[in-house]
Amino acid sequence: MVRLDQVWITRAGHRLLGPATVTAHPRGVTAVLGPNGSGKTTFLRCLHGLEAPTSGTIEWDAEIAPQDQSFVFQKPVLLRQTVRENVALPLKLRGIKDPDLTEIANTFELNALLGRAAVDLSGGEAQRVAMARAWITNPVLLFLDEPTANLDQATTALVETVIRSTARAGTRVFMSSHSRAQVKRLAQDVIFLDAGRTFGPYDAQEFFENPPQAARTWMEDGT
Amino acid sequence: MEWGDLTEITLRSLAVSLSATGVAALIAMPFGAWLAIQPFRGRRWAIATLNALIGIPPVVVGLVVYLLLSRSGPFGVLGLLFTPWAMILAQVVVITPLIASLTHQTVRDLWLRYRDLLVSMNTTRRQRLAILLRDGQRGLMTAGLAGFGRAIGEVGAIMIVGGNIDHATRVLTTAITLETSKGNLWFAVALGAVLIALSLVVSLGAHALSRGERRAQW
Repeated sequence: MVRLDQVWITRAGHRLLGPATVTAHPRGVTAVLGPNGSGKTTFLRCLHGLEAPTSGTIEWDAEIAPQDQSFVFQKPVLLRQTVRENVALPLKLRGIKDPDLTEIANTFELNALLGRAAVDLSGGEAQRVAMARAWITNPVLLFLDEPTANLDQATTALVETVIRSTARAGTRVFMSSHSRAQVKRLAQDVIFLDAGRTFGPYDAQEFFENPPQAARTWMEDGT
Repeated sequence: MEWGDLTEITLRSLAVSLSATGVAALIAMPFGAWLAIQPFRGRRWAIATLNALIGIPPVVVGLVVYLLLSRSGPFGVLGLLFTPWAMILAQVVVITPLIASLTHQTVRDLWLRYRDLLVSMNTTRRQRLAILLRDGQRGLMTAGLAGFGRAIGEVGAIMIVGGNIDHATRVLTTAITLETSKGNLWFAVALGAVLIALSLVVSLGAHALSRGERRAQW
């Protein structure tokens, strides 16, 4: 369980998040939905510990060690090394010198790219590498910030399949997304954000069948 | 000076300046990288001071090192004055701020890009430094070459602490000064050409030894 109590994050006088008051019992995939600039990324970063609240508190009921968490950024951040070195990085940091990447490379269809320099990859390829790097440690908690925003349809389908099977295997996933269709396909719960304020969590099916008042305008927008 | 001495002073120039660059890089690169990623009170002042030290007059450095190494100075007992060791020491002092500042800029730019990733991965400070220094190798090489360029072209400090002694501490820059004062202008010009060639050879050699341009995202 995670509990956020009156969390605010402000920077240079601007509100990025808040008030965020959420008590969630993550199961499978929890989608973080909301319009542009509503604070989805800040919310995920805050849960992961990349942003410290300006005020308020965050509590996780079970202590999940930082090394049991992974974060996939919307814009992939890759080191100036080969794909193989990028994917293996988390394991190398844990002292595993020559990790076997066969399985993860198969999962994200990276076999042909392993020897390539990361700087030569397309945006979609780079995102798959970033995901493989996040997945390789079998995290307990996975944060995905718009993971398919820059992917084509086929790669999106691949990534969704991986997310689904990962969640089934017990990893709890927090994922922000613009796509309601994607959230319908993947999520069990939805947290909605509007102008930094949090609403929910809601059961995903109920959220789409009977949207809460706060989300109706955005839902009616039709995007 | 005989033409035969040219090889000797060229090799001595190279040895002194490469040694100084190596020592300065060992000090300046970790320090510059640390300065880029470690927040602490007064960091802005530390960076401003470091940048100001880039312009420190070599003659003043030479004077200070001279006072430290002279027989009546605190390190006089070591007997280093008027030896290549004193010249190396003076050059280290002159170029360390330059290499540290350029390293700081390189690592700071990378840190801005990698910070979230490396924090998210729960990396230790040592691991962060290792990753940033590895990925910043192009910038670090430029910093090293800038330091070497300044060291090999430096004359004020090494003239004071080395003394321009024939077959002992004479290097290309001090030889140029001497030959010019003697009126051997063509010889001085020839020595200058050797100095420039040496600088170019070291620079091109460093580039050739580094990884490919495309791979390292130059």
